[in-house]
Amino acid sequence: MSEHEHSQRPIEIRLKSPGYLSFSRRVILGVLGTALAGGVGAVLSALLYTDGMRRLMLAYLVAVAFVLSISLGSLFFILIQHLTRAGWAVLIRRPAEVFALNVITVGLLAMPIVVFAFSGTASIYPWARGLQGDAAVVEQSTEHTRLQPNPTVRMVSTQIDSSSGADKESERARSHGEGSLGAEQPHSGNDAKEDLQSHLYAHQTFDELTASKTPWLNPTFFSLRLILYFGIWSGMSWFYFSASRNQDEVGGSEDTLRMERRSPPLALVFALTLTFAAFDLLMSLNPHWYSTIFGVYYFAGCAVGGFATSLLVWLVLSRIGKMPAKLSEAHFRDLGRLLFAFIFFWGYIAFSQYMLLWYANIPETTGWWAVRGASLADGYRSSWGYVLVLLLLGHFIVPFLGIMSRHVKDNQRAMIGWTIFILAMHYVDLYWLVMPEFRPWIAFGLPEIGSLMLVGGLYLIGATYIATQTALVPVGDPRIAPSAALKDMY
Amino acid sequence: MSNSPPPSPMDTGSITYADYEVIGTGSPYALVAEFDSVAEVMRAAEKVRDAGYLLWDVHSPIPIHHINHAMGMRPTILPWITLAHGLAGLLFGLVLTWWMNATTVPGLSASVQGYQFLISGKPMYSLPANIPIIFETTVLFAAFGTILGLLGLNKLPMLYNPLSRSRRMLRSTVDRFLVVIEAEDKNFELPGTARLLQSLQPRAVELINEER
Repeated sequence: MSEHEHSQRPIEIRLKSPGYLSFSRRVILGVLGTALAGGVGAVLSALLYTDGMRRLMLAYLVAVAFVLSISLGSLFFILIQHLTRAGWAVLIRRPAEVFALNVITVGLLAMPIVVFAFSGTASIYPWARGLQGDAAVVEQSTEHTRLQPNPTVRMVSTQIDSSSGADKESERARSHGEGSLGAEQPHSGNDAKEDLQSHLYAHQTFDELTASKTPWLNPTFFSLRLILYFGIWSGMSWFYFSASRNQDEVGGSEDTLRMERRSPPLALVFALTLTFAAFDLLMSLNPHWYSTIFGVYYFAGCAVGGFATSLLVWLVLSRIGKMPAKLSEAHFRDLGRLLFAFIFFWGYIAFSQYMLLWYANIPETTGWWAVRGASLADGYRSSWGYVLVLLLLGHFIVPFLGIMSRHVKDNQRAMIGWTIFILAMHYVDLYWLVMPEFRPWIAFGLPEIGSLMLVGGLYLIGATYIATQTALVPVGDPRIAPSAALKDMY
Repeated sequence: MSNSPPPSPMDTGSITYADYEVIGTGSPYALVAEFDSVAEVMRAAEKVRDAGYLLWDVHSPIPIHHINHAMGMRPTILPWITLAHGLAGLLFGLVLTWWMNATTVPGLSASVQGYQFLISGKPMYSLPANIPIIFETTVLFAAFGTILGLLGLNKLPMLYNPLSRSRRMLRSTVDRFLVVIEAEDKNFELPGTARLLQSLQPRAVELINEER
């Protein structure tokens, strides 16, 4: 058989026996302990903090969206490698396959979100709140929205007001003293915060507008969709993982061709499921708001997270001698270039989304931004604006300029630092998408850190388990020798 | 590889000496050595580099990875040219959008004043709206800077080059690999340089003179 002759060809990679990953018990226990400590901290915070359960669930959603983005970014990496028949990345694709398959762990970790969607008024999703016989809430807001179809209108123009809001308005004017033009000074104290909340967080009451979206946004359909998404992602990842591992044993090009043939339709399925999952998990936190580019925005973050993780895993594991193959510096450089490109892509998409909504200046689309600190109007400034500026600098401008130079991409120690920094900023990105829904000033503490430790720790345990089930390089792929000999163009 | 007579100005056409063929008349322009494969030309390039030549080049029908190392070329300054042009474009875009939207200079003709259109209640100069324009001018300037810098660094367009008279040069766009050492190089001498090229075991060495 010619296929067997292929696999018999000597591979110019020195494999330590047998090229499987192993960690000492201490490391594994350390990660488990971190997860456990995080879990304890998270549960404690839910009991101790005001509105602790809601905050914990939002923080938990951030952590799950973060690890999900790493898995989806890795899946995307595998898909484009096969779509473009890229030989250069054969040697480095296995960690991406491991992290992609780890979407199964994310699926298990996402279960509390699904369960919590059924908890009625306690749910973090406003669309899930009206369905537990809370008729008073629905009725009251129905009256409100009849008078004024878009509740967020009040956010921008305080002149226009409905009868239901008039009392509050005059009260606000009174509380800030006569002579101050419509309470222009930034408010202080709880009063101001409540005031701001009632303006910015109108979307959190289950009103007519939200009710009209319940055919799509209801707990049952939501959970079914999530099961579908995770099922599809797990199936795709399992296909690529098992085909690649099968090739380790039988060799030949059959599996490579199979993976390539399926990649175009799977890429389409991937794009659709990722987009809708971003809509469901993150965008529906504000059911009044919509942005058609939101799925692409989350995807850009996924790509950044996935590439940064692949690069970090290779850099760190090569450094501590866990990797069986030695990468040429061209591999690191090319991965760094991909990461660089998608950092710019993220900035491009993030700015596109912002600019179009800002320019159109329609209240129903700017409300989401005002909650996230983008408004400089008096009374609407909030500390979330600092996070927004941090994102602009830390997720775009600083890493863009920082890893632009080839000399930085060649410096492996520097790239370890940069990938960790970029992953941290990617977390901040998702944090900024979700947490402003909790309150109009920064909330970062035990719930956020605890749930990140819990989810991140369990995610790493899952990834480590999957990684021990396979060799760390696809030794059976016929293109592995040319990939190992990869050289740069210049 | 014995002593060969230096090319005489009287020579016309191609005359084969022991070490090299001669094309054209007049003062020497360059020596050309012809190779069959990438591996051979890489080895040859390393030798020429180590002999200390600076004004020389490798001609190949395909891009050769790492030929720059074999030739001892310093990194190109083209990225810096691109960066400088990109920054110039950024500045140009900033000034352009600011001037056109938000200036009123007393005493200046109306044809060069800013437009002063108030659009959807935004400030006269509002940065987010202008970022796409600034981005475009940055990319435009950077692209032009790159292509013009490329042409400049390669001394293009060059309408005539004595090398074009060699038939061997034509094959460097098909299936041959050439090492060309220019006569202006301070280490260039005849027949020493020709002997160096012969020692690299090329298919042939050719001297190309300035005139027909």
